[in-house]
Amino acid sequence: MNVLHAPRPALEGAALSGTGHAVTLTGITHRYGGFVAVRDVSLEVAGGSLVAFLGPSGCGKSTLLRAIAGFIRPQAGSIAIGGEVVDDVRPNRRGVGIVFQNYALFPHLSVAENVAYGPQAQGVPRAQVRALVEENLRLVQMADYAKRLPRELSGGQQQRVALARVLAARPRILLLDEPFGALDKNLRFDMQIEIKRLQRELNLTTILVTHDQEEAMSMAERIVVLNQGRIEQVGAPSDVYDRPATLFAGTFIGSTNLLPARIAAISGATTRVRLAAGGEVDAVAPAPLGIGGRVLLSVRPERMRLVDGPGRGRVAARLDVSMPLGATVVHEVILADGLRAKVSEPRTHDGPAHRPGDPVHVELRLESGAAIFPDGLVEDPEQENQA
Amino acid sequence: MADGARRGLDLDLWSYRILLGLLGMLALVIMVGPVLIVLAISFTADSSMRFPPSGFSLRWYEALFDPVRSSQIHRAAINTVQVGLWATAIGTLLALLAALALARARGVAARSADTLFVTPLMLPQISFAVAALVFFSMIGFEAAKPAIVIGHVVVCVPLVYKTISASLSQLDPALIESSASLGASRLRTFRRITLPIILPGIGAGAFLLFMASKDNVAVSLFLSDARTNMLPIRMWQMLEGTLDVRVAAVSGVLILATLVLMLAMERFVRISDRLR
Ligand SMILES: Nc1ncnc2c1ncn2[C@@H]1O[C@H](COP(=O)(O)OP(=O)(O)OP(=O)(O)O)[C@@H](O)[C@H]1O
Ligand SMILES: [Mg+2]
Repeated sequence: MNVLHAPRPALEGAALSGTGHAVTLTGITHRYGGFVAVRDVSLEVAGGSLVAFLGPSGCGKSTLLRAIAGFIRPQAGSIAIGGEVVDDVRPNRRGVGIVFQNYALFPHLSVAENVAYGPQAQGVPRAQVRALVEENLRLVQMADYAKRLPRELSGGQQQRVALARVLAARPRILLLDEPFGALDKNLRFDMQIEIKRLQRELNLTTILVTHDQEEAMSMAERIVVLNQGRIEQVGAPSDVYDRPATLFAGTFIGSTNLLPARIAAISGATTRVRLAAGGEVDAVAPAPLGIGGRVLLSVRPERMRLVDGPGRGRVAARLDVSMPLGATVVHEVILADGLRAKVSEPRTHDGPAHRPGDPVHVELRLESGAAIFPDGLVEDPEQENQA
Repeated sequence: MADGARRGLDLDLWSYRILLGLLGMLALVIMVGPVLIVLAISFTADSSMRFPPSGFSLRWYEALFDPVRSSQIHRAAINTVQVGLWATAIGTLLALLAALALARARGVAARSADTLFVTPLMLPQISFAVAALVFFSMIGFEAAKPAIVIGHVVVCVPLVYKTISASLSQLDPALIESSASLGASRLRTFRRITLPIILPGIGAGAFLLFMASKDNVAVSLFLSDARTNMLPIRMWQMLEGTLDVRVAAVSGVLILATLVLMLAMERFVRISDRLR
């Protein structure tokens, strides 16, 4: 079985081979009519890496992919692949393979013909085309379906054929536009692992568009968080999760509690904030903030736990509900200022230590798990007075 | 009570169905009735177009297929088929090119060109025919058959243009983009992806164009001369002069030919459907 996955021999005649090409976006801006879909995006995707574009619907993920593939020409900016500027290069000469959300298999061609399409278009000799088709169909475990038409396949099978088709064309860059949408959870997981493995083996630079943050966290080496056509943050999954650069990045990825607070003191990189619900904690501020300023402290549910007595970094609260969710228990607590917060703890065998209605204390463990952002929603009267 | 309500609902449903059925039947009678009558008349033994016929015979078909007695009809039929084929070939090609060019265009010019291509469907054909006659004689274009072909192309092209652009608009742009990103040139993408997928639309449009050309009276009437008679006009002349029963036989042949063509089309479309 492993033989299949061995690095492939270079094919003569295949126009595009060799992997590990970097993608460089410089100042990309794209408008549809008057609407700015992508705004001044600059990004370096390292050769051979897997990067996820993560963001809400309509934030410009597909637009960026389409620009890289050459289907649209951005109004401003430049794109380079493997150091070569490709702004004037047609899509069929870019060596960028793309898998669309709806797979876009050619409906009138059989599975085998679909997979053969790329090599044939590139003028690969017939015998090698056949070898490529077989190899890639086996790779996605679709060899038995070679003669079927796409509409005779399930969504997951179509997805695998789409993957085989794009790999058979031996692209320099692989773009995946939400390719796992139609798959059930198990198959999705299998395909994620499969793509990750292939990508590593072929050293294939891959950009994965998704709005599933778990998918991005588990597959990507780096995550690009997009919002309204702009990059909010670029970083390793753990960075983006633990040290969100913006409020948007913090709330879009994972779930988080936003607790109103004021800045009490600043010493070096750490900032001490006083929570509206009482208590003081140290946190990381991505942007410089002034003392007394209103902020929102972002604390992940798993960075808090329920304790009995008061103490440093603890906030008084009342337990409202507890919900077991698999291996964890999620508690909803009501803080002293009336705000609700979620606390997630590993589930123990001892049974619940607290009952709904009990007064409890919430301990914030903020070693790496909290960030503060200016509270833009509320004007600060004190700062106005100072000004 | 719930039962009563349900029965009431069923009654509504049934009266709706009965009304719909009656209307459907009426439409069927209006559409099919004349066809059956003309077929019956074509097999008459009488020497006039009386209905119901008093006896069965094939004499009018014999007369129709007699190369000496019906040479004028034969010439008109050949003209009609020739003109129809030329008009179909030219019109389909033009419509295909136009539809391809305008399919994804959004500009004002493209939109107005799109409208322009379908206006012949709404403009009175007779006015176009008059204008074409004046125009052709003005520029000294004497050849009747090419003139008729051009006229038919103009008045029939919307049918093909519409069917082709409809199938193009249903073509998923992601297919074209996938093809390009797999390395295919535009020409290859057209040959291997676009064309096979829209082929049934082209076929259906071409069929419609041929049928419309074959039936066209207005344009043919104005642009034909004594030597290039067209079948529908010849039929009208035969009726006008002598109430010639061969007209019924021609109608019978036309109906049969249409049926055969339609069945062939159905097969063609369905086969390519299966190829999708
Ligand atoms: N052809 C188009 N014409 C006009 N506006 C467009 C066009 N394509 C996209 N847009 C707009 O540009 C914005 C970005 O679109 P894009 O397809 O890149 O979003 P996305 O991030 O891929 O979203 P999703 O997750 O829903 O696929 C959206 O607001 C969309 O409405
Ligand atoms: Mg998208």
